[in-house]
Amino acid sequence: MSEAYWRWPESSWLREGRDWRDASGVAAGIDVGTTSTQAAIFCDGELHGYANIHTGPDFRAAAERAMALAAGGSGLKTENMQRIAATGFGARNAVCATKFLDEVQCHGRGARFMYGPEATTVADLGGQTTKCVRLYDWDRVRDFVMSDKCATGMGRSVEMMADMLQVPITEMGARSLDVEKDPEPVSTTCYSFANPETIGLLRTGFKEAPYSGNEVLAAYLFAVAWRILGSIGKLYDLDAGDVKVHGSLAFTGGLAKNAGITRRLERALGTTALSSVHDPQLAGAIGAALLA
Amino acid sequence: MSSQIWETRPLEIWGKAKELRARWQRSIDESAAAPGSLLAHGNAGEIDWSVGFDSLNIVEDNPHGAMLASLSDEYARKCRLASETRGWGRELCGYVNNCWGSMFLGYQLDGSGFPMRDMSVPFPDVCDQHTKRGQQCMDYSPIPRWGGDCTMYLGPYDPDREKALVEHKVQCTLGAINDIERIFGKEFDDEKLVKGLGARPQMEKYGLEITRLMARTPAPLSSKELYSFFTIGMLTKVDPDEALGFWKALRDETKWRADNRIAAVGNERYRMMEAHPPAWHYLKFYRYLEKYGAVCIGSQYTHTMSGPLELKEDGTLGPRTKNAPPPDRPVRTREDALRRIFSTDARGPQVYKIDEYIRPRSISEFATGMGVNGAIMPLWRCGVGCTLTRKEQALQLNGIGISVLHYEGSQPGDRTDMDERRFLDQIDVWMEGQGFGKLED
Amino acid sequence: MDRFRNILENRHDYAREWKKRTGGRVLGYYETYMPEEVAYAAGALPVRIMAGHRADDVTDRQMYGNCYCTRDMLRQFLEGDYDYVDGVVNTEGCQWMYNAFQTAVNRRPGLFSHYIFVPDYTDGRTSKDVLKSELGVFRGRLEEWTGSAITDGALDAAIDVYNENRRLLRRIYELRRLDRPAILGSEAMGLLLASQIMDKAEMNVMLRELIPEIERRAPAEDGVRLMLIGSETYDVELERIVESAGGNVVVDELDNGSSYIWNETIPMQDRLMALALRYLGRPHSALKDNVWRRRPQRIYELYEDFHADGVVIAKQIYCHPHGSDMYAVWKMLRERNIPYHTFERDTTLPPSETRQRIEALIGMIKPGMTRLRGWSEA
Repeated sequence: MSEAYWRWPESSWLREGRDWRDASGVAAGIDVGTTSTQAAIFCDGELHGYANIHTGPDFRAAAERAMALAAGGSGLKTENMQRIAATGFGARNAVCATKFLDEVQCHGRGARFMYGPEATTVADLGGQTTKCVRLYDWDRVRDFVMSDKCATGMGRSVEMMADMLQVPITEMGARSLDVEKDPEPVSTTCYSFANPETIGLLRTGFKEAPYSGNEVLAAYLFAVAWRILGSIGKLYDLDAGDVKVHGSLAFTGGLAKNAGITRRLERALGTTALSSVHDPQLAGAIGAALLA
Repeated sequence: MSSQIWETRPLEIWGKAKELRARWQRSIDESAAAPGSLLAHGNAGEIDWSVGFDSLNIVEDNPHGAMLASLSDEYARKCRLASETRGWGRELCGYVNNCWGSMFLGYQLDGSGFPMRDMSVPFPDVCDQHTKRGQQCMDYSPIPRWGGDCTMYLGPYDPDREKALVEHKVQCTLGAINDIERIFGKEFDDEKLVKGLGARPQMEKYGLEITRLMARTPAPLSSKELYSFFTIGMLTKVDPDEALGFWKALRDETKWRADNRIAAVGNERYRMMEAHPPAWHYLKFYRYLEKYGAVCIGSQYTHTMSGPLELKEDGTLGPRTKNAPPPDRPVRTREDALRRIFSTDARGPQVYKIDEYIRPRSISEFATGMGVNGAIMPLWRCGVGCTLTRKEQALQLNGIGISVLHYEGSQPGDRTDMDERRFLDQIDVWMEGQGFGKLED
Repeated sequence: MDRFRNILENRHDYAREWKKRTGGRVLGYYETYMPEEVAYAAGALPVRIMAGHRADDVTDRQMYGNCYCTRDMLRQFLEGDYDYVDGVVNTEGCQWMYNAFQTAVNRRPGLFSHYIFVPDYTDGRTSKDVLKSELGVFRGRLEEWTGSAITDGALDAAIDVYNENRRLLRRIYELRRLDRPAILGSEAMGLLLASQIMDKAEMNVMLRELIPEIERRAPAEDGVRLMLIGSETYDVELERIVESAGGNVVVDELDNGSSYIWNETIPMQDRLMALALRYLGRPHSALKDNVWRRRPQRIYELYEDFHADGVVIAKQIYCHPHGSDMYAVWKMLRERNIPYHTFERDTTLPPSETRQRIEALIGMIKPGMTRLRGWSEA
């Protein structure tokens, strides 16, 4: 395969016109995930720079590269930072970190920074796990649900599906929404079931009418969304009725950029998710920096 | 059909079966809404003691959940999500999750309110998920619930051991009847119970005749048809006399078809059996099998009405004689009647489903008696009673030269993990592996 | 403590050595409702069949959809780990367990085997009678097997030994209940598990020595006090992860944890009835908590009694009794604002993922504790 359809663009940003040397305190957070790694740097409580990269096989190298990219050639080194907190699956590989924090707290805190105080339900749609968090007060966690073992690797599976279907990952969501009616989702239990079933939908022949490319995408992303819905629904009390969230909903993580997932979740929950000027993948790193 | 060997003809009894089923479906809502009527959750499969109460309708979540699965994929999926988010495991029985998920949602497929149960009655059944059943509605809204037991032991029939087990079942049920009378102010009509005792053995007699007719070639009915009939008078509750009339008519028509070689599948050249229900949303695989000239003659499950069977010396199937004979005592009281109901075998008529001593042996005897060439045995991840010992049974069948095809899915009422296209591929490989090509495409 | 750990880790060696030493028979059993006293009175050593943590590549021919515990139990049987067992007994309980039992018996037909019906409807008027009858059948089978009668005196002695064992282990729970527990959750659970494979008389002697030693220990560090509920476990990995994350499991509501030892047999003239009442009166497993729904209330009472701060619910994948009970448990915990986290275990307990969960749970609980109790972060 000549083209890597799964490869989403890496990014970094540095605040212009501000020198970190003028700050009285510099803190950083690194979120070393299985699929992507982010670093966020704060100077005196203000976001100064960030980076969002592919993790690859070397967690330690990814942490170092993300931190360097976030510093953006400004000369800022980890030794100039007062506090560095790491979170994520590979947090312990971030050797510069002075503190390790759990992901739930970091995503909750990061989401509050990015989406404001109205965000009470945060769904982090990551490469490895889904973490749904219910917040109260300013940044306190009231409850959280992590996807169970069978659903791990969700984000990575979507990347694989992009390659298998040869659809650029950034276009998957929009294409999947371009269908008249959502077909029934493929298996929502495990991606080992879902992926081959999805490919099976493409086959032409005598057995079943083939799905169109967009319908295949819809059946697949609908399954991903439905799986996430099961986690979100567990956050709230057990009243009668359909799954719902109280307050406002914010998506973080890489799959938050996939409208094929988020739009379906919004439909099912009867709500519109909050939006932010920040990249939703940064929530963990921002939260870690703020809690560092 | 160009490859047709046998004459085919639509079944006349279809209309009656549909009418009875539709009436049963309506009765769920009606008994929840009608003043003075009571709707209970319970096992409707056992011989029905509830006939002693006027206006008490017992509905089991199995058929309710299966019905939802066959009516709407989308609604059943929402039901299961509602169950999952309230703590019910995704790996649990789809029937349970569909039925009680509908309760959690609070609305039915047509938008009307969920028919809440007034009570949960003894539920002695073989599946653990049955044992835990009746708790959903009790935990959700406070209603009375009574316990029951699926008394059991392993190995051959043991009359000494049976005594205490039967007594326990009788006393559990007596206690529930007394409590229902007290709590709901309903009077139990012992005479009706005693009278009702006659209907079931007669239905079983017809059931057995049908089973034996199904051993003939061509099979006069197919599994798909049996699925529409086998619950009538059990899970699908109707008036006992009407149920008896239905089974008689079904026996008569089946016999006529068998005698006149009217086939369920016109190109029958391969006979297969099943174990437990298929995916209710995907019954079209039976049609696909017909392309190979394969007819499914049912399973021990669809032949439940015949009671536990064994292979007789003449090679035909007959009632299991290792059970206790019904006690030769006049039935006058409620207690006598219940003792009569339970004392045929403390382990109940569905013993073949429970007892691993009997189970593998009984499936081989069934296969031999029915003269099958192969068996399709689903592996359901989400229903312990649906899957328990399935692989052991397959080994047993392999041992007598019967080829077995397994396919995987969540549960008959849950389409989540069922890869339909893959299943059809498996059928191709299985049939071709046995030397059968498609007769048509 | 190390002696118990060694016995638990080398449990097959322990049983083989016991057999050699005493010339007795070993009776493997599968369910927590096993009336061990009857087997013990027959001179046999009841040994709980426990699951290990090996990836299974053996049982696929016989099983589908089973929980990993029962698969591993069968695997161990098929691979000969339990070759020293002279017989196996299953008491009515979870169907997967029953499946593991019967499939093992099918593979080793020469083995003594017996199935005891224990009512799921534990509170019925005749439940005790039917269980007594089943215990009588079991007694008869054992007598036939061993060739000698089980006397009332032997039953009394067995009941005494088992009651003492329960009392001593309850004492361990009291030491967990202290404001600063004298024993870690992993240590306590290790003792509970050891009790299910050891000769109880021998264990009682060892426990009588151990308990004063524990009482003399310096109080443990403060930490977040957690309660563990869910499917049965056969190791202490989860407790260790909790401890490494700054918590301590101070109480459990597990079938083979506190529920296994909580109530004693009250001696009666009719010994089998006394045993029937003991087993029907024990804190019930999820499967048998049927009509009266005592389990959620019991969880709450233990939570309060042991001053727990939160609850970990660890369920095995494909454990249908616990999958079915979760609704009532969650409902109770939510109504009382008790923090909890539910997750599923499988063949293994993935350390990093589990640690993430436990850290997040502790992270969720700790700020509240700080505010309510004035604890310092440090």
